[in-house]
Amino acid sequence: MPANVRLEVTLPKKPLVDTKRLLRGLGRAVDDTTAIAESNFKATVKTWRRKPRFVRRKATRKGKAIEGDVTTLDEIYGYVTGGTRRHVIRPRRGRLLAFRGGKYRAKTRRRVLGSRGGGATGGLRFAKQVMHPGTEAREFQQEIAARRRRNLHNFVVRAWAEARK
Amino acid sequence: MTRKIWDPKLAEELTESDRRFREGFKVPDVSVNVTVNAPPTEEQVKQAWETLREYAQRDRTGEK
Repeated sequence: MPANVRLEVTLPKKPLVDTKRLLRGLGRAVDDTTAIAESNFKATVKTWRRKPRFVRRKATRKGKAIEGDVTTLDEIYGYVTGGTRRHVIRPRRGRLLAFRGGKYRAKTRRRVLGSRGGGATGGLRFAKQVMHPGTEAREFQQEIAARRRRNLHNFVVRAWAEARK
Repeated sequence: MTRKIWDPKLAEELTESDRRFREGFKVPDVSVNVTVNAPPTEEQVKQAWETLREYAQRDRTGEK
């Protein structure tokens, strides 16, 4: 015997998500993420004598996206995180280079978001020029981005959950 | 007592080596960007809702 089945679309009385609340929540997700990223950056220079400046831009809506970021224009930080190749160092002003000739202990390590004690040791030595062996790229921003991506996902899920009516 | 030595040839050489050094090492762009998709505006949601209601209404009345 054929059955007569009828399907009917039933809509809830109002939208299920509060869009204003969602927008606020997603903005907060971006801001919380950049705040942690900034503290991650600062941790990598904690024991540096000359500390680079990091600039954090809070969440703003740009077209279909909500954006925020943490940046530095510090040249030295760029060399540390990006690494350098082998290069010759010559004196710029005087005729000789002066540096400490003992063991050098790096303050930072690749992909480690922290900074420990370290630096040059030993007595002064002089040279007309030296061959610097290069610096291993610490890849700080890649590590921070990878960690914050997972965290951001949780913040976005939280924003959607809170915006449900 | 210190004596200032100015050697134009050496100065030129050093400037040149400094220039080569800076050209050889491009400072990487250090930044972490965070981007999420923005939700639709309230007006867009309202419009989508009206369209759905219209379809539901047509479905009930059997209108094509």
